[in-house]
Amino acid sequence: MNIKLSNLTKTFQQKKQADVVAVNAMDLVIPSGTLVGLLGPSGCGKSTTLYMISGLLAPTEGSIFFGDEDVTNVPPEQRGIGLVFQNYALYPHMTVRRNISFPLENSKEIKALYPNRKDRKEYIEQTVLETARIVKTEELLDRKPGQLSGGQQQRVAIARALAKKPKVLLLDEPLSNLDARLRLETREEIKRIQRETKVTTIFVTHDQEEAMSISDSIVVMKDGVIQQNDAPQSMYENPGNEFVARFLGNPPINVFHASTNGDSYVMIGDAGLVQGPIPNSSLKVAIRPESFKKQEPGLPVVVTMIENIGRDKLVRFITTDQQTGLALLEADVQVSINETIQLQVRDKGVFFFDEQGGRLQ
Amino acid sequence: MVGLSKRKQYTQAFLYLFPAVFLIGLWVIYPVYGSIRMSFFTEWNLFTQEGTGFGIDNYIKVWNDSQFQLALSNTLVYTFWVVPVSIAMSLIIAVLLSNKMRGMKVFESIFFLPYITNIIAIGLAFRFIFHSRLGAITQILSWFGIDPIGWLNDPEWALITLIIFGVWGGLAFKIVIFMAGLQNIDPQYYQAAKIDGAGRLKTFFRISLPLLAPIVAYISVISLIGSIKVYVEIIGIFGGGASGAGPANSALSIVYYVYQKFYQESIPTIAAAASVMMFGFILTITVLQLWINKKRLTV
Repeated sequence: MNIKLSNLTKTFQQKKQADVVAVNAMDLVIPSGTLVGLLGPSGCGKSTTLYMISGLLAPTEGSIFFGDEDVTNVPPEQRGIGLVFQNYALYPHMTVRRNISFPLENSKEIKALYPNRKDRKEYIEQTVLETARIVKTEELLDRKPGQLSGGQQQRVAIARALAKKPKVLLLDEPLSNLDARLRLETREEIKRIQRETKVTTIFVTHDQEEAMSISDSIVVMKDGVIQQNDAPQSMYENPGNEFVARFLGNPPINVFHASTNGDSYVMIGDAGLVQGPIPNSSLKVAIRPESFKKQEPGLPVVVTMIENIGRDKLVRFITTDQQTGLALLEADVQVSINETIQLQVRDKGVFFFDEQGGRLQ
Repeated sequence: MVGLSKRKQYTQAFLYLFPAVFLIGLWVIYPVYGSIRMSFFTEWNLFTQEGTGFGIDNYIKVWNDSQFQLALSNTLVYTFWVVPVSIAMSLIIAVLLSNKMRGMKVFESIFFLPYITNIIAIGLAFRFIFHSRLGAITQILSWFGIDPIGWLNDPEWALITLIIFGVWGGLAFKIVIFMAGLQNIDPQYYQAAKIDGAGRLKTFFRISLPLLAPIVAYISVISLIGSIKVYVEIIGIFGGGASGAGPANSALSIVYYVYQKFYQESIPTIAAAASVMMFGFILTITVLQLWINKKRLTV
């Protein structure tokens, strides 16, 4: 079942202040059965979008479709969604079993399906076990949330969201409350659970690495507007604008102020580098750190710092016109601090933007 | 404290504690000890603090006194009604007040008024409202064809009037505490409950109430102790002094009994024995209640 957002807008009214447009006329289609990451800096409207899809927030304008059905005015419990809150919001006074069964006990569909109390109880018990097995928490069923680790709580929260067999699973910053090691583990888990249940899943994150690693596609947002919607790798290799280029990738991309000469050759300072898109103009050239190689003739730079990070060498440098940059060079390349070296670029990972950040082809 | 010797640490701790310990000793521990001692003597000289006739005679006398039995039964009935009814009512009002609606601040103030108003003053207001001929209650009841009730001067009704007064007077404090408790519940639980399809009543009984349980326990202990010590309310509504606790002493409570024995009949030893019995009584009930709470309410 596709999810379609059409002209979706959310405006928050504030006392004595200008209204805040959190989400601005957003159009988006999320294909059935995919895992989609809503990515952006804080305040970009990604969580607002998620909560509008869940039904907990009503949009100011626009509509939300689940398949062909317009669910804009359908209350959350009837939308067939599961939501995992950022801090899980597990009911602290209930055991894991009760937490997972709570949505089932309230379900009118289940009540209609199993009018007999005993059958219903059996069905719920079965479903709880089944769901707990998917998220691997069978042995925790009789504990209370306070007795679980962060990662276990996360699993239980996902189980509670999955118990009603939702058509859509929504996760708000699912990994932000976990420590670094658990984060890696849990994101694999989320991917696995999504594969296993084939439920259309949308998750919100501000961490580009998290989004890149597990999403089928990423939607990058800024100021309530979608910047780009693409598969992670193609977005990385082909960012639509400067914001997306800067937001994806670690270490972050270099953006240099540059100009082109009459032959469209890109000049940083007075050194020519690559063939650019247009002659005689000023522009920005963005280069991924791993797209540099030490080769003459190239861009002369002075090395200011070197970090050895195992496989690679992270070199901080300064250009002749005082712009700073980062290059990821192979570990066996010989460089030393204050040395002037020449850098050349590879044919991937170099993008041109105009002064407003729009992409130049 | 690091680096100080053990002895220095103790000295320092003792100096910090001394003012509090001294005051508590003077005003609490010593009088309690005095009362307990006094309660075992049949004769007591207030000036020399000496007693004669050591034994448990006072206790036997108090236990067999029909006035004390009345006081005990009144106090129990009063507690039995006031504690649960006032908790339930204040919880409902607190829930209604915490729905953020326009004008709720006004209601909040109205409900908090009794707490900052002197209970004697409220008692006076109640005397007008409950007046058997002129009171507002009598008026309202007459619309339904109910004959005037002698709320304040019929011994049959005095305890009921006292209970209504006690419930009303206890609401304000409980409402404030419950509202604070409700505000402390993470709103995400309500969002989660909404997603989980729980209706409003179910959300209250399955989410709010269990999360409020520690506060309900606290309020019930405080309220229970307060009810067993009911005394000012009786003076507030029936007036004290020689007229006794309500019409024909019918609204007598244990504390009021102690007061009468001590100040009006000048038999401090009996008063002391009755207070000690009440002390034991409160202690037993409170310990029992805390134990039940602990068993049932641990999150």
